[in-house]
Amino acid sequence: KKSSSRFHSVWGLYILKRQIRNHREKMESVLLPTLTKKEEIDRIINNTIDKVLVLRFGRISDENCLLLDDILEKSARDVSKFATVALVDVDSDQVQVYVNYFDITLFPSTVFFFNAHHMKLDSGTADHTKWVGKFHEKQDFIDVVEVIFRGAMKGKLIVHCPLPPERIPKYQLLYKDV
Amino acid sequence: MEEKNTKAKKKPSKKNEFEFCKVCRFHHDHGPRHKYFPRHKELLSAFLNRFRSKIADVRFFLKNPSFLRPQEESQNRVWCVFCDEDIVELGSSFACSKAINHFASSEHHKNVKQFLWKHGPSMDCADDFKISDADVAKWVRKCTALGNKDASSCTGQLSSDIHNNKLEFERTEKVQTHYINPNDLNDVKPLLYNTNEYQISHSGLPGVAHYGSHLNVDASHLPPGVIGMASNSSSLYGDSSGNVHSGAPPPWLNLNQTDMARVQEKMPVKNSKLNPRRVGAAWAERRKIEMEMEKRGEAVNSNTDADWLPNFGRVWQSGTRKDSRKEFEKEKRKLVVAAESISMESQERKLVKTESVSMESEEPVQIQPYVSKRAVCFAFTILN
Repeated sequence: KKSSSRFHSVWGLYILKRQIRNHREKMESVLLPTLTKKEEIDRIINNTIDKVLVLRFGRISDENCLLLDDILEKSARDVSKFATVALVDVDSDQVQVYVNYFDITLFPSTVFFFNAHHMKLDSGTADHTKWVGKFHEKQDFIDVVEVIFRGAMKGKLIVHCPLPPERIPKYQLLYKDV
Repeated sequence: MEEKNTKAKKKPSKKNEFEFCKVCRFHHDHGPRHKYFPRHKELLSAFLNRFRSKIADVRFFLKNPSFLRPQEESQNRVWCVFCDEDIVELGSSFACSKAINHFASSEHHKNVKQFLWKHGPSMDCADDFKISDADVAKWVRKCTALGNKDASSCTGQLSSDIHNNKLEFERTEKVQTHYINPNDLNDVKPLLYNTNEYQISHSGLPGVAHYGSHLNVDASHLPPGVIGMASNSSSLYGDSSGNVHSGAPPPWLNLNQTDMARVQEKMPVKNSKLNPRRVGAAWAERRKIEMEMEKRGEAVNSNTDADWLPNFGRVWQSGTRKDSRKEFEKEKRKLVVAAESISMESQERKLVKTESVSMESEEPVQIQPYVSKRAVCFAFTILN
């Protein structure tokens, strides 16, 4: 009887884990669209009205990008009332126009839009037009998106980052390979 | 400061004569200031609303002209507040015809203006109390049409002919005697022509159905009259599809239903208003309208062409965001041109060309690269 009960408990645990994984996969695939074409990006920019649009530019082979994606996926639902999150695969050809236009040289990079206007974020780094790197935790991401939303609703095009400097990824910005 | 105060106190108040305010119904010596007092304003709005409803009744008949039977003439009286005169429908074939003509007359318009000038702080509502000549013309046309139509048909005691009115009058006298019986219980015998005294407080214009019941009540005050009129009240109104005796629903119930529907339609569902000064507000409003139209399937705008770029402030730029977009497009064009020229030649030359092209694009741009102090120190330490 003991062995059978243990078996049942192990089996139960296995079933539970599988359910969680399936649920998470379902959640992940439903919530965050991955965009590979310029038209898709244009469409999502034009269709997001009165909500912050978070566009992550990166490639899934990159470790930092995966960590960032994990945080985005987990917090996408929490910010869903005032933000939409989408992922852009940077290796696609049609997307290179935007990679150049947005001056994206380091991956992953996150760009914020509100009502088709680009929102700048002053986080103490050299580049205010985007967020480079990953977030330390979900709450950081949610805080950043909230600050952007509040600033946008007040009519500000640039906002101050609420995170302390130790949680902001540092990077070197090169100008034309200098 | 003190001097100013004393000066103000020393100023003598204007001595105005006592006048009677028709609206507030009392005497006052405020003079012309009186019309700005809040109490007066309230009473004035109530006063005007009452008269407005009476005019609305007249307007009802303006739109739906119906015959005026002689026995109903007494009920069809209006006291014009502005002209201080009673408008009696004597010998008119259509309901409220005299009233309509009066309200359209220039005298009445003048009196309205004078009244509002004297009593009202604002003159906006003057048009509510006037009937335009165009409307009167339309009404006349409708009347003649109606007259021609109903010349032959007689639903009861209808007659558009003024000559025959008297005969009808006499005929109805005899007919009406039947109807007196059920009303004898209430001792109701309204007059054909009422004196002014009784009409001051109830200048009843029964354009609306429920006035019929009011008139019954009023009639009890009146001295015993010639003919019992109460029974005919229901048949006054355009479509006499039954009356109290036949058990038909009262007309005011139907009216109320339509009114309620109209009121509900007019009430707008107000959503929460977003800040109009938020980023991209104008764009958002336009886009919402576009999306609604697309939902309805009306306009399918191909607004985003392949070259559309969002409003973006680039990293290395000085100037507005439009400038950055233009710069980007310039660079793109140069690259495209370079690519085209390259495709004509061999691969080795291609490499050379790209380098030269990139160098050319850099030359006109004289921008110093941003190197932070820390980077300089770092580079210095590394070199050392």
